Amino acid sequence: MIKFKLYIIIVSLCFFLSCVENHNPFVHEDVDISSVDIGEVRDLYFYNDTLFVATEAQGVYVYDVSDVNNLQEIYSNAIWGLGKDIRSIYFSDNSKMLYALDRFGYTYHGYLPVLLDESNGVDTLFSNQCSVSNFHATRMFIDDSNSFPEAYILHKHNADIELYTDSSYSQIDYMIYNPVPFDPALDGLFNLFFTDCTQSILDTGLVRLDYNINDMHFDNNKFFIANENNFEIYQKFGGLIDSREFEKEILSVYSKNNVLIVGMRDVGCYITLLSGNSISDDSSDILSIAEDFTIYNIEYNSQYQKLILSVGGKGVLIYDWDGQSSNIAFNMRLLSSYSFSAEFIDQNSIIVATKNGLELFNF
Amino acid sequence: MILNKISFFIFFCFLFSNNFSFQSNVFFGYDSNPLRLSENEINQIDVYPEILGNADYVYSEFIGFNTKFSYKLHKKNIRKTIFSLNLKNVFYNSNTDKSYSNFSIKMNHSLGKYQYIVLDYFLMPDFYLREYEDRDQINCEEESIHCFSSTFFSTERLRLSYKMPINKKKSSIRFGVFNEKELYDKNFTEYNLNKIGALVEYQVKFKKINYTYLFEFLDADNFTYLDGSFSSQNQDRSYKQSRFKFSIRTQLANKNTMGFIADMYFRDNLSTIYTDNLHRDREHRDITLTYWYKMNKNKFSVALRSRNTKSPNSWVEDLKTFNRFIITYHRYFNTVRF
Repeated sequence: MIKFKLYIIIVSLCFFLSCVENHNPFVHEDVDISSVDIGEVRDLYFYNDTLFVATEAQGVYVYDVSDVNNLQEIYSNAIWGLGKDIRSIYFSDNSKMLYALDRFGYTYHGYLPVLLDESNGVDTLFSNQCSVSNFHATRMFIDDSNSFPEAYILHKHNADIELYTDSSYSQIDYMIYNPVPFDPALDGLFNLFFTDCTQSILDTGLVRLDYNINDMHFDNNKFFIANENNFEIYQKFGGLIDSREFEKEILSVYSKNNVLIVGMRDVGCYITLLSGNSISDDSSDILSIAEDFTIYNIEYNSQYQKLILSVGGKGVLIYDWDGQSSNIAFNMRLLSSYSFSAEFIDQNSIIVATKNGLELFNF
Repeated sequence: MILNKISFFIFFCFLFSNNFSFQSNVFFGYDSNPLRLSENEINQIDVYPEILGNADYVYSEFIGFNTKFSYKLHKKNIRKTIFSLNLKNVFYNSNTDKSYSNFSIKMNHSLGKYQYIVLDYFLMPDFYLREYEDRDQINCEEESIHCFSSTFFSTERLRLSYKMPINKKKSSIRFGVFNEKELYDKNFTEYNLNKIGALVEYQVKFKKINYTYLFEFLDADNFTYLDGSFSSQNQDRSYKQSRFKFSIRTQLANKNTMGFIADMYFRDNLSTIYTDNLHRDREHRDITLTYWYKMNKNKFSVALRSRNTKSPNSWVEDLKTFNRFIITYHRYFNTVRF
C-alpha cells in the first residue's frame, strides 16, 4: 500500500515539472528603438534639429530632436486636429511658415514663432481660403526657392457632390502671398490673411487633370502627376510635356536632377531619366528597384545621399543614391510598423511615420 | 530535462514489472498542406518560394510511429491505476523541418463505481510552424519582401479530469481542467501563450453506436505582450476559443469498425488595439471532418480541415484562411504483454 502511494506521488509530481523553457525575447544589440504614441502619423518634415509631424487625428506636433535619444515636444495641438486628417506637412525656413494639408479639407499655414510663443494665445494654424474652390485639398507642394513661399495645392472636384461641374476633375491651385510681406517676422500673423489663388499654375485652356490623382511632385519647373495607371509631366504655367501608361497603379512620384522615380503598387519603383523634355525610353536609362513592394512614399536625403521608400506594412527601404545618376544600391530594409513616411535625423538615426506613431531607429 | 529522467525511470519500472504491455503502430500518408498556407500564399509560391522555407513542395508524404507502454498497478484492496507512456514520431518526406516528436504520460486511477481520475501530461518540443518575419531583427539586409526566419515552438499541456458514469456502462461524463503553454523560440517570443481551459465530455452507447460529445473552452493569454520587445508592441495575440467535438464509432456486422469525427473550434481574438489589424476583431472558424475505417489491424482515415478567418481586413482573411486534407493508413501490431 505504501509502495503504491509512493508510485502515485512520484508520478503526480513529475506531471507538474515543466519541460519547456520560456526564452528571453530577442533584442537587437546594434539598434536602439524608441516610439512615441501619438496615433497614426502620416507625414514628417525634418529641418535643422526640428521635426514637424502630421498626424491622422491629433493635428500637428513639433519636436526638438537635437538630442536624438530624447525627443522634446515643443508644439502640439491635438484639439485643433480633431476632425482633421493631416496628410502633409512642410516648414519654410525662409519665412518661418508652417504648412499642413488636411485630406479632402483645407490647407493650413501658421507662422512658427507665433505658434511656439505661448504668451500670445495663438496656437493654431489658419485655413487657407484664398478662393472658393480650394476645399478638397489632397496634395500640396511648397516651393521655397523664392523669397517667400509659393504653394501648389491639388484640389479635387467631384461631380457627384459639386453642382458646378458635370465631370470630376483635379486642379492645381497656385497660392501666393499678396502683397508679399515686407518682414515675415513682423507680418507673420497678418500675412496669413493675404493669400491669392487667382493665378493659374497650369494652362487651364490646355490642361484638365484627371480626378484620380494619387500623388504630385514639383521639381525644376515641372509638375509630376501620378494618376492611377498613368503618369504625366506638365510644365509650370504651361501644358503637358510627356506621359506614360503603366499596368499597375501609381501611388507615388519623385524627381530630382532629371531622374524620375515612379512608385507603384506591388511592383516597386520604375526609374528613368528625363532627356530633354521627355521621358527616356532608352533601356540603359531605365531601372527597377524594390520590385515586389508597394511604394507609398518616396523621399530623398541629399545630405546623407539616401533614397527612402516607405512601403507600408513591409517597413522602409533605404538605398544609397547620389541624387543624379542611375546608380542606386540597396542599403537596408527597416522592419518598422506600417510606414507612411521616413526621414533621416542624422547618419545613424531614422524616424518613421507609422500607423503606431513615431518610431525612431538608432544604428 | 528532469521530466525526461523521471519518465525513463518510470519506463524502466515498467520493464521490470508485471502487468506491462506494449502497443505500437506504424502509419503513413499524405498531407496536402502541412504548413497551413493560405490559398493566396500557395498561388504566390512561384514568385516567393521562400514561403516554403526548406520544404520542396506545399504537400508532403509522411511516415510515423506510435508506441504506447502501459503498466497496470492492481493489487488486493488497492484501486486499479494504469500508467501509460505514449511516444509519437512523424517524419515528413518533402518537408523535413515539419517532422516532429511528441510524448505524453497518463495516470488513470480508478475511484471505484466506474469513476476515474485521470492526470495526463503532453509535450511536443521544437515543433516547426512555418516561416515568419521577425520584426525584432529590425533591419533586413536583403531587398526582399520576405525577411523570414523559421518559427519553432514547444508546447506542453497538463490536464486533470474526472470521469463518472451516468448510466453505468452505457453513458458517462467527464469533467476536466487543463493548462497549456505554447512557448516560441527566442525570435518569436511575442507569440507565447498561456492557455487555461476546461472541458466536459459526454459518452453514450446507443444501439451499438458509441457517441461522444466534447465541449472545451480555453482562454489563451499572450503573456509576452508589451514585454519590452519591439514586436510585442501594438499587437496582442490573446484569444478565447470554444471547441465542439462530436464523434461516432460503430462496429459493423463483419466485426470491422468505422467512425466519424467532427472537430470544430471557434476562436475570437481579443486585441482591441486600433492599429492591430492582424488581430483586432479577427475570428477563426475551423472545422476538421474525419472519416475512418478499421479492418483487423489496418485503419484508413481521411481528414478534411478548413479554417475560415473573418476580419475587417481582407488581407488578414486571405492570409489566415486555409484548407488541408490528410490521408493516413495505420498498421497496428500485436500488443505485447509481460
